Amino acid sequence: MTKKPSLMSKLGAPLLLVSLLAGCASTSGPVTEGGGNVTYGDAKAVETVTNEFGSTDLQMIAETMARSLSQHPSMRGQPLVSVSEVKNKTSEYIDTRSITNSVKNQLMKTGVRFATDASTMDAQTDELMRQNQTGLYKKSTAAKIGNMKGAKYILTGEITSIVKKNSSTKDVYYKFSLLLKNVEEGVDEWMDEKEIRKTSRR
Amino acid sequence: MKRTTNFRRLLGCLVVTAAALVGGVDAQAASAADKVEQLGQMRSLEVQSIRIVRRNDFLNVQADLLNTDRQTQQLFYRFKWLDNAGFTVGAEEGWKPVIVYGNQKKLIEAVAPVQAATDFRIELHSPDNNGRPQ
Amino acid sequence: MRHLNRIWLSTLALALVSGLSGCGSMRNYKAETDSLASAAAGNNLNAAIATLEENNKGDDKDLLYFFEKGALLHAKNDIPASTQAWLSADEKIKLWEEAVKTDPGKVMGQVGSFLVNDKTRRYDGYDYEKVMLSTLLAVNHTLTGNWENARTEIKKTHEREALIAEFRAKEYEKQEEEAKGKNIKTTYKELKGYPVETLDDPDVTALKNGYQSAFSHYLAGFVYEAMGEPSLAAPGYRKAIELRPAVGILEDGLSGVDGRPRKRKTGETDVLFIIEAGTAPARQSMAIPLPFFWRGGLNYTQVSFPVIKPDRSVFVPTELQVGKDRVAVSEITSIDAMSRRALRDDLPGIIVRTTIRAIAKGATQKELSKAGGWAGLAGGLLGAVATAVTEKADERVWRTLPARIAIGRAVLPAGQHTLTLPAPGGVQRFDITVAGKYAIVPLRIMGPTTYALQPDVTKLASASALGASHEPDADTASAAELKPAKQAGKKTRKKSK
Repeated sequence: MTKKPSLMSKLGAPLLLVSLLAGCASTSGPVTEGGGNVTYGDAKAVETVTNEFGSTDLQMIAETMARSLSQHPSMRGQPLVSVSEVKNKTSEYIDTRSITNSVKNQLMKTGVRFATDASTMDAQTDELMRQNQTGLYKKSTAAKIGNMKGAKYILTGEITSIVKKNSSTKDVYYKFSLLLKNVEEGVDEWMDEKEIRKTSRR
Repeated sequence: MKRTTNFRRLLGCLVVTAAALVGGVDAQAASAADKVEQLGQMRSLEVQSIRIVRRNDFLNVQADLLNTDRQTQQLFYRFKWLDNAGFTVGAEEGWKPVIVYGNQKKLIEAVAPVQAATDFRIELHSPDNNGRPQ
Repeated sequence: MRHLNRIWLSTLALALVSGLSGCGSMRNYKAETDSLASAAAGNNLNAAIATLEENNKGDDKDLLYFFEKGALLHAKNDIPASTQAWLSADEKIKLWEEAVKTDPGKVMGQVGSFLVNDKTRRYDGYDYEKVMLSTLLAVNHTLTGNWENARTEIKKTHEREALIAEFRAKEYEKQEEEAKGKNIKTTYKELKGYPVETLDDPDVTALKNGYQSAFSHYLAGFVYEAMGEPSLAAPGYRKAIELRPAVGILEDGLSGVDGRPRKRKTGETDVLFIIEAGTAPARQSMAIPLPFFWRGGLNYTQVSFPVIKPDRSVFVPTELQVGKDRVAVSEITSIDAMSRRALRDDLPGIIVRTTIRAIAKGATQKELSKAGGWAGLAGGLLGAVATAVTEKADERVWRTLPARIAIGRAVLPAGQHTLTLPAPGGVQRFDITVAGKYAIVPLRIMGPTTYALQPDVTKLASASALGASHEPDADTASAAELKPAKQAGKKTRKKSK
């Protein structure tokens, strides 16, 4: 259309401009009527609202840990791993399970398999008990008791922080470390750390 | 025009003065141009070289960045991973903030999230030294 | 202060006189809440609730009504109704939070308004009240066996604290600038006759701020621990220690965070006793003569400031007895001190506002009476009346909040226990039933009366029968120990002499 040099296009351009200015050219989109001033943002954007532990920290830690561990030779052959609690040694309410869940999520995509851990144990054993003890299930299809697999490795770790403040500056340093332990042998097979420094000024 | 980087030249915008400023350009760096996606042309940060190796069945990437300015620059970056067919693999990465001091050479590195990744793109954005996109 | 622009001043004065008709300022909140507190202390919660309803007949109930109603019903062990009332209060606080999030400057502007008396403003609640509300809501949810909701309230408490911290930092900064700009000294030490010792009390100055409490954070630790989340429980206990250092029970909370769940045997319940003692102190208005310059002369005008007198008579037990075992109890939070801390932090702002208003008013009075004749006399009278009516400090405050909060913790076999409590009205005994892995038992002491709150064990039993796996407290082992629902559900509020 743009290639058609005509009187029409010469006239059309200013006309379009005028109608644009009048505000009648906007096309409605898939947003409900009467919405407030709410917008959807980018979940992957760097968040610098406050210097408390935030989404960017979680994403960076999980990514670094997952990538580092996936490279480790112990992960070849797809061993069974169990996620244990990552200790929170800060005085901030950081949900470390949310971090380890992200690590787990990313590792699973590379083929690592995970054994049931404490956080989902109840759901699984309850279901196991229901299938076996209520008498409602067909014997042949019910999951058998005593077949759960033990993990070869457990994943554990800690997060610590150092917070310093003066009248104008607040500096927070986080150190997240993750450790892979061989359960049977009691050997630490892999470990990595991620450090984050955040500084805010008034 | 002194700010014109070798990177810009590599992108095909040959500027006469650039040739005089920049020395030899190695083959690896030449391919770097295709791998970098900038959100606005950066004036004082340049990607000097990118190294790629496949280790433990995962693609490993290292990129050298140079801050040509004397001021500290804030950089945001992330990687996109592509498979043989050119499709993205792995989940979308979060943006990572990095500080590059004045005249510092900074290394950014990454490992592919999955074995299927054979290619990549680096997205770069530096809020304070943005020029116009090419 | 001499720089005050005259035109501005007279506009201000006019606005003041015309803004007098606000009816919120006419209620005597102190007398109202005093009667609530004394009815509750006299073991007559129904009368207290009736009085509250009598005082709030309008359709448009304010925040204070829901605060007090929830607290009275909480003491009455009518937990669902208490939760409902407090959730209504929470709705109102959410409006405030929303306003602070979207336009903090506007909220500050309203607060900092010089034109209206503090008393005529909408009551938004003090910061510690907002925080205590979600904390107590969490307690209520655990009593009805709803630990997931308790966790949500705990999380809300943290978010609320963060919001308050940020907002106050901005607000105090702005106030300081304003005071400097208008050349007003904001230290309360220069207020003649003001009981500064109530604000310089070491209990008050030792607090980090007026809204964070060791109790809120210890409770957070306990709830997260009950949910099987030690990594979130640890910072709760840690924060509690930071806010109230050197209290053994808080330190035990943190040191045992990893080992405790392992040590507890099947059929045992980790019980947190919460002793909520006394009622939060009232705010009283105190008139103080304030000197000011007007047309080169020194003048005086009466202004009022809020005063909080600490209540030293509140009794907090140091131990209680479960069966034959003693359980140590430690006070970890004093809302009495927190409310004074809040006043201490707010006072500079109150001084700025009151001073500007008082000068305007004093000047109006002088100008009007100087005009002479009948008109002058009438005007002078009007001005004097204006001073008398508007200048009374804001006395509104959540009174039925406990003045002091103490906790005790013990691992008990699930089932019924006899609780013995030394109280002002003599030793009191209660039968309580605990079930599940974790339980909270609040005891509300008001005057000589103690109300024991009972976790609703029927809820726990039924939840576990359904196999609700996300209910950490409803493991099959402890549910088996429960008495039949009929008996277990009975409310226990025995009083013996």
